[in-house]
Amino acid sequence: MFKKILIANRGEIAVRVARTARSMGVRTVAVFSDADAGAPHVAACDEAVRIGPAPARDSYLRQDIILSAAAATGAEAIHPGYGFLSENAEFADAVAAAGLTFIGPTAETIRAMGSKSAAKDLMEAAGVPTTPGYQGADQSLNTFAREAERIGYPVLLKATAGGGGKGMRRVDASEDLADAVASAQREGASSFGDDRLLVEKYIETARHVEVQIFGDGKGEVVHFFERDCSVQRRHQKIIEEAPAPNMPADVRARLLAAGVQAGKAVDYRGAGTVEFLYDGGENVYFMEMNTRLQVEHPVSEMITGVDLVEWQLRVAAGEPLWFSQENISEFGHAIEARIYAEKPDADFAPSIGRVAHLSFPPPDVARIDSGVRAGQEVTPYYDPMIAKVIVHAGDREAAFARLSTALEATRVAGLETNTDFLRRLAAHPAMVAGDVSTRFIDEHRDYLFPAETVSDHARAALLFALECEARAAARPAHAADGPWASLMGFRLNKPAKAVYWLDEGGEPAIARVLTDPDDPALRHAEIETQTAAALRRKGDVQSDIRTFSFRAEGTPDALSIEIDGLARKGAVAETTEGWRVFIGEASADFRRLDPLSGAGADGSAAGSLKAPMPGVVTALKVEAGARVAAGDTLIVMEAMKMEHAIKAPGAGRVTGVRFAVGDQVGDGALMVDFEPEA
Amino acid sequence: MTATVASLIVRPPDRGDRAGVLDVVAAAFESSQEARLVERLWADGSIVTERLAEESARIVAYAAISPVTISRAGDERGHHFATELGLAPVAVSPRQQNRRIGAKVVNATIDAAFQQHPERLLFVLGDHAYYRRFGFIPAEPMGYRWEGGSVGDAFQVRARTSPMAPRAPRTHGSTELNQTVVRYCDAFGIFDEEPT
Repeated sequence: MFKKILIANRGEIAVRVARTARSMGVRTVAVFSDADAGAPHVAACDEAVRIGPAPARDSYLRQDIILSAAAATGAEAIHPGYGFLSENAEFADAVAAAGLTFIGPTAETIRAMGSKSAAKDLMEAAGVPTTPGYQGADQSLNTFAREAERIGYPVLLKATAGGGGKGMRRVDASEDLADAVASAQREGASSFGDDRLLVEKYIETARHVEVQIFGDGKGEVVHFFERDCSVQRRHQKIIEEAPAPNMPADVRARLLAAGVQAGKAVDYRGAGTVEFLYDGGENVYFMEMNTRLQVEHPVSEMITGVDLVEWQLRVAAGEPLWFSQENISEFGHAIEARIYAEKPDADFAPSIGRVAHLSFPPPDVARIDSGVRAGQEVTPYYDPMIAKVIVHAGDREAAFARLSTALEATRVAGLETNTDFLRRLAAHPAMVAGDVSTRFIDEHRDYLFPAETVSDHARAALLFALECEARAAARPAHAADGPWASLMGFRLNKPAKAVYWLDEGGEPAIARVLTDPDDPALRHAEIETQTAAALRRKGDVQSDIRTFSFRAEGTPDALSIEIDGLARKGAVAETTEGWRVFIGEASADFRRLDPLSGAGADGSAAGSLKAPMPGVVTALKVEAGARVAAGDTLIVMEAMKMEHAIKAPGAGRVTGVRFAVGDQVGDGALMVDFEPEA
Repeated sequence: MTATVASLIVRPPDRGDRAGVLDVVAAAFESSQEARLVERLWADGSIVTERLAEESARIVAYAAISPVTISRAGDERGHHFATELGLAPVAVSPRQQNRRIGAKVVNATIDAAFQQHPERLLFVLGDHAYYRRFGFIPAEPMGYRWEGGSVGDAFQVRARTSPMAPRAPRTHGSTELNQTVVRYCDAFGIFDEEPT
C-alpha cells in the first residue's frame, strides 16, 4: 500500500478520499488554490500545497504544478477525484511518466471512452445494447427514411458534430422526416460547419440508470449494483438512489450484465460507471462510460457496505480484488440529495456568497459528505455543491422518510440553496412512488415551485429570536445565570410589549409583540406592513393587520413554536442581510431593516436614454458625436421639481441630441441617439 | 366652489360641520387617530384646503390638504427649504363606499388647492391603483421619499399640469442624490407612537 498520496481535487470529494486514506494509514497531501486556503479539504489532509490562483485552469487543472507538488511532498500516487483532471488521459500518462501511480483506469481506457461515438461503436462490437440508430456516410433522405423506418418512430436526428441540443430534432412520423432533416442539416451547418446527421431511436419517458463497476485491470470486473439518477435539473443530477426503483428483475439482471460486459470490453481498472437509458419497459441502452468515481458513489457504498475509495487505492497499489461477484450483497435502499448553492426559482442559477450558518443532521440520520464549512465563501470559480446528504434505510419508503428528516435538519444560511426544493422533491408522492424520469422537474413544476409563503410559525420564530437577542443585550454579563435572568423582560403592573421591524414580503413591517399578562409563555403578535400602516393613517380606509398568538421555547439555535396547538421545531440563523428561519419543513429569509434608511429609488432608470416622465430640458452636457464613458451625464431635465440626469448606459458615442434647452419633453421620449462601443 | 351630482353636494366645511366631519373620519378608519389628526390640523391652522361631500344633509365624505416640507435626508427635523402639499386624510363613510363619492371629493379638493397654489406639488400616501386616476405617479422614482421610509409606489406625487412646465428652474435637488425627504406637518405627529 502507498505511504502517501496526493489528492488533486477540492471540496467534498477531496475530504472524502482523505477520510478513507487516513483510515488505511495512508498519509495525504492536499492541493489548494488561493480561494481555498482555509477550506475543509486542506484541514482534512496531513499536508497541503498551494498551487495557484483561484481559477481552475491556473490551479486544479495545472498538471505540471500538481506533479511538482507530488514530487516535493513524496506522494507515490495521485487520486484525481471527479471533474478537473480525473478523465484526462494526458494527465494519467504524465503521472505514469513521473513514476507515480494514477488512481484510476489506464490512459488508454480514458481515451477510448472519451469519445461518445467511438465508445458506442466499441460497446456495440462487444455486444452491449446501444440505442438503435444509423450513423453511416450515406446522407440521402431516402437512406434516413429507410433507417428511421427500420429503427421505428419516434426517432431523434442529431448533428454528428453536434452538442448542446443544437441540430437535434425529434421526429414522430415519416411525413415529418424530410422537413426535420433539412432543418437539422441547416442548423448543423451553421452551428458546426458540418451538416452530417445521425438518426437514433428516441427513448420516451427515459430514465437515467447506471451500473457501478469495479475492475482489477486484468479482466476481472464486478458490479456494485445500479443507481437511478433520473431526477435532474439542467442536465445535472440532484437526487440519486440505489437500487433503481420499479425495474423488473429480468431487466435489472440484463442491465447489470451489460455494465460488467462494458467493463470487460476495456479490461477496466478501478471504479467506473456505465450509464444507460432505460425506457421504463424492457430496454436499456448504453449511453456512456465514466472512467472515474462518480459524485453519487455513496449510495452504492451504503447498500453494499463497501468503501469504493478503499478499493480504488488497493487496486491502484496492485492488490487483487479480494472478492468476487457472489461476495457482494445489497441491503435496503439509499438516496443521495445534493445541496447546491443555487436559486431554484431562477432556473437553478448558481448563488454565491458566504456560508453564514451550516448545520447538518446527526450521523445516525444521514451520512454527510461535505467540503464546505460555515464562514467559507462559495465562489464562482468552482462547482457550487455544498454537501451530499446520503440516507440509507430498509426500504425505499423508509429511505425517503429519512431523507425528509435529514433535509429538515440541513440548515444553510447566508446564501440561497436548493434545500427547500429538495425537501419538496423528497416529499412528492410521485417521487416516493418511484415514478421518476428525466422530465420529473418539468412535469411537477407547480408542486415543486410553489408561490413563496411565510408561515406564522416562521414569523413567530423570528420574533422570539429577536426577543432573545434583545434580552441578551439588556442583561449584564455577570447576571447572565443569576437568579433574575429568567425575569428579564417581565414588568410588574404592565404587560411587556416589544416592537420590532421586520421584512414582510420584501416590505418593511412593524411587529408588536405583547406578552400575555396571565400567561408569560404566551405572546400575541400584530404585524402591519409599512404600506398598510401608511394607508390606514393617511387617507385610505383599508388596513391589513396580521395577528396571531404563539408560545415559544428554547433558544434561537433550537426553538419550538406553537400556534393553535401545532408545535414546530426550528432554528434562526443570523446572516449578513438578516436572518434565515428554519421551521418545520420550510425556511424563510428576513432582511434586517434599518427603518431610518429607507430603500433607495432604483438607480437603474438613470441608465435609460428616455425621459423618465414629462419635463423640460435644462442642460445639454454633450454634443452629437461625443464619445462618452458609462455613467457620463448626457442631458439634464427637470420634472416634478427634480433634476433628472440622463446618463450613458455604457461606453459609446452620442450620434444625435434630440432636444434643446427649454424644450418640453414627453413621457418616455428618446432624448439622444446612442451607439454603444462594440 | 360647489359641485352637485344628483343630491350630492361637495363644498368647503364651515364650523358647524366639524362634528359631522369627525364622525365620518372616525367611521372610515378603524382607529380614532385620524379624527384626532383632523382636529389637530384645524387647531394648528394647518389646513390648506378641505372639502366635504354631503348627501341629504348628511356628511358622507371628507378630504383635506395640508403643507408638507421638503428637506435633505438627515435634516428632517431641521431646516427645510421648500413647502409643497399633502393630501390626507381622505375619508368616506363606510356605507357610502364604492359610489365614486371619494373621487368627487378628492377631485374637488385637488382643484381647489391647485387654484390657490398652482406651482406646488401634491403628495399622497395610498394605494397607487386608486390614486393614479387623479394623476398621481410614484414619487420615489422621482427622487422623493416619505420621511417614514420607502413604501414602494404608495407614496405618490403630481403637479397641477402634466407635464408640468416650471417657469423658472427651482428644483428640490437631483434624483441622482436620492435624498429628498417629504415630511407631513406637525399634526401628523400623533401617529408617531409607531416605532422608528
